[in-house]
Amino acid sequence: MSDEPDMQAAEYVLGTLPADERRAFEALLARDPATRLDVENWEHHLAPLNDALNDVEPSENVWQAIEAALPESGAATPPSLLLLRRSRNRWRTAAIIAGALAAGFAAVSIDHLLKTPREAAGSYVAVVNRTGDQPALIIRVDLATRTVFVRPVATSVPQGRSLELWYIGNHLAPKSMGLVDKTDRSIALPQGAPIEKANFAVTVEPQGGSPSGAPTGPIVYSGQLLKE
Amino acid sequence: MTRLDNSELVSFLVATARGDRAAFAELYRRTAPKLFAILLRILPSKSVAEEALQDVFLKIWQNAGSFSPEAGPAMGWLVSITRNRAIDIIRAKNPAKPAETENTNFLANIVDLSGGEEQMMELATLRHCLGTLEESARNCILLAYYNGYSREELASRFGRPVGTIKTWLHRSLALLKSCLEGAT
Repeated sequence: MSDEPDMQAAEYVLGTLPADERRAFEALLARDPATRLDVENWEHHLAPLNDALNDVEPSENVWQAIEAALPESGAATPPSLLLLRRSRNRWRTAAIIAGALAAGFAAVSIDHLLKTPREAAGSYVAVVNRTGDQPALIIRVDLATRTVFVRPVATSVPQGRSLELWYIGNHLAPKSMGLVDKTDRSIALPQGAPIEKANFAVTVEPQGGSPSGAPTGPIVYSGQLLKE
Repeated sequence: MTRLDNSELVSFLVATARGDRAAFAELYRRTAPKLFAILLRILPSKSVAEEALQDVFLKIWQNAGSFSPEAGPAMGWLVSITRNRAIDIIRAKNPAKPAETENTNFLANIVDLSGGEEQMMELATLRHCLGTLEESARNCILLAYYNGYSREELASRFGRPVGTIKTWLHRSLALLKSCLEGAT
């Protein structure tokens, strides 16, 4: 893209970037503090426009639905223990991958949840949570064989849709790792894929998987790899 | 409409990050009506806007810990989460025309100065700077910001090629910026 970065930031804030440019820009935003500043600057410039809008009271059931979707315990799970929490409002809570990355996933150690013996050397694990209690997916990566083992624990697939697993290495474009169903699978890691700080995310896609090869639906689970 | 006090909103956000539900509820009570107004303008229906508002507040609950008071006012942070959600929703769909707006005289509509003095100044400045732009270019910016128009939708509304719209946007945004930054 040859556009001046500040104009991209302006159009991002304005909302006029086409979907693909918007997504690419968000990936840049997630890793570039200067771009972040450009965006904040534009947000600040245009913010007074919102003051001109008259408030509208949402109906009571919106708050009820939000409250019902919060985790059950009184306190939120501390962020350091939290992967992206899944909304109770099943397939609606969406976040563009870059946005979720920008928010920062934290990893969680769950040795006690893993029943399989760990690999002799260098293996990584990602636990992909539902509500903070039981993981929905356990993803293990064996460095020796560069194999990813995916074990669904408590995933549920919406009717007429598929869940697709994505590998996101170091802010690169997400690579599909195939569909997630009820069965355990092992998949070879993409060629040359970095492991450090790799993230996995599961999105809701049309049946059979994303038609474009890039995630199109909301993220329902995500997690970062953690060295065992 | 009362002016939202930034330090109060910041304290609610900090408490929300610690898992304080009461603070989160208060944050909702104070800010949801404004955020809902933003969503209603951009999204095609009330029910879609209500769903989006839920998503926005769940995201606020999850990400409150990443809010940094040094980066700007709390309301700005909440607004950007809200607008980004709305725009992601409409851009993810096939191009659908936003509801036709009732009135095209946007500049005249930006007169509801209900806030405090600083807020009034900022709005007055922005209004002045928008007033220096050509009418079509200004309306492009306002239709995009308030109603979520894409470049294509602006092109069809103004009967110009998409490339022309992009040029208008870039030129007028650059003028707007130099006016705003020169004025403050």
